[in-house]
Amino acid sequence: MIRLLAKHVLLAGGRLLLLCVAIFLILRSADTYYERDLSPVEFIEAVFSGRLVRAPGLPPLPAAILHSLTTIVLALVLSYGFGGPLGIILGRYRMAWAQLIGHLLISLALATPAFLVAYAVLYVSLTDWGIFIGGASALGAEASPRAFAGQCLLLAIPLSLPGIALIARQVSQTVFQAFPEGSLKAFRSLGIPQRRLFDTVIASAIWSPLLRALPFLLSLFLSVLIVTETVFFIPGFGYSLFKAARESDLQSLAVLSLWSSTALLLAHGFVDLLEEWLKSRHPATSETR
Amino acid sequence: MNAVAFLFPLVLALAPGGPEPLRAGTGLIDPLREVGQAAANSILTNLAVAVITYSLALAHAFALLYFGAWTRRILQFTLGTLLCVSPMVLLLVIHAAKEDLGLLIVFSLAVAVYPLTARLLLNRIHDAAPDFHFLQARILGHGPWGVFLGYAWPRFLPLTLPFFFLGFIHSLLVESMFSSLGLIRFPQGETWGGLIHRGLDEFLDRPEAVFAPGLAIMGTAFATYACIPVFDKLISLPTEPT
Repeated sequence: MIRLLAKHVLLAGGRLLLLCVAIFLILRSADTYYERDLSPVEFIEAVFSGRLVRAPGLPPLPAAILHSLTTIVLALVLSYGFGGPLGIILGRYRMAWAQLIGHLLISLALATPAFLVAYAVLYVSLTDWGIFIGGASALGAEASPRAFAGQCLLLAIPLSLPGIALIARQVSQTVFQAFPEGSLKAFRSLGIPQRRLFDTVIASAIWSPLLRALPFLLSLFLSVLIVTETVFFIPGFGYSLFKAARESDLQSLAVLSLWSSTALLLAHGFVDLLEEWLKSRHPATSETR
Repeated sequence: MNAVAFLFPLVLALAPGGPEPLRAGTGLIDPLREVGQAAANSILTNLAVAVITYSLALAHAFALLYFGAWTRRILQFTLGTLLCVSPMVLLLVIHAAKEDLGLLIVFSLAVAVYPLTARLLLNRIHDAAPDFHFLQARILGHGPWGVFLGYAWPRFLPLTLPFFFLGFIHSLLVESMFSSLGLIRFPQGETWGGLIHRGLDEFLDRPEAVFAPGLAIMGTAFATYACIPVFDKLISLPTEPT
């Protein structure tokens, strides 16, 4: 375990260093880099303390990060909460019509741009409810936790649609691989109760695709969040990125992008580590898959 | 509504014969006709991105299999690092570094889309083309071009063609998302994402100006998804063993 941990820490450290060097080199070539006299160590310290983020009119970073993080967590909950069961149902019930409808829905959800759903939600909220859910209202000091949660949930809906489809597809494929058509017939002829088989094998087989999808979902959510927060005018992390890019402030943008990359890097590292550890604990399960 | 107007300032232009201001390029033009006009730009741009992405991913996969252990480690490390950068974030950084990219925007999009395609493609290829085949070829003194054209290409093509289409879909979604922010302008003309950005000026009065290009993007992506199994079946002919 310690060896595995050391390997992944080294790998993540190397990647982070590569990203820092790339950002450092990009910044050195930019006109909006105001801190040219920083040494590499001071640069890293300044990046991660947030001191380099200076674009005018940026929302307060702790509140922005809290808002975006809550939205992403809610989107993850929705994706796994709906996508997992949907995938298991698609993998278990193999009637031709159910498969056709299921796969059509999944393809449609994957083909739908998440920002289009965001525009639809915005349109409905503007015309039918007569409200504009945005601005600093939910982030202000006087805002109630309910308003904050409601705003995050509204943003999480467009994010979670491709997430649900992705998870459902991964899980249904895993279940199909674990139980090919022939094997089901064989179990049936042997009189083995299918339900027990499904419950036991599915529980041990689906953790891997569910885990592996996590960093990709985070990357997807971060991309979509930039558009949705801009559309809804919510001063979160995605809006900060957009604002820095619109002001052509490479210094703030580079730091914010390094933060987001570090988060993704940690997610990738965590998933790789957990997957290898689980595989080392249950080698038979991974072989069966 | 004020916030929407604040984010996407109206582009005003005076009508030729009167004092009434009109929004440039909208108002009288049918959104469907605009969508039709932008279709060629959108599809061709993203096809170009998909071709570059697919070629990069294929070259990456081949180099990983053909060359030695150190090249493999370096390539895997680089790909792993690139996967930690979200495509939209990368595009924003490129935009901030150099505002008027011109046709280089196609390459920027390809660089943003490439890591995911390469990762998926590598997973598929690795099972079909074992490492020892490449090792044998190197021991026998075959150069990379010979091995690529004689051995790898005929095997990789049927396996990896779906990833070309997936790359196209991914590129279409990322490009439209990026252009809907209004940060770029394609030199060859407006794309569907650009139309969405323009339509936001009058989102409440003419929602079709936003939803028509959006539905066109969705329809194209969905049709491409639907075509993947067909192409897969057409091209998956048994190849001669080398």
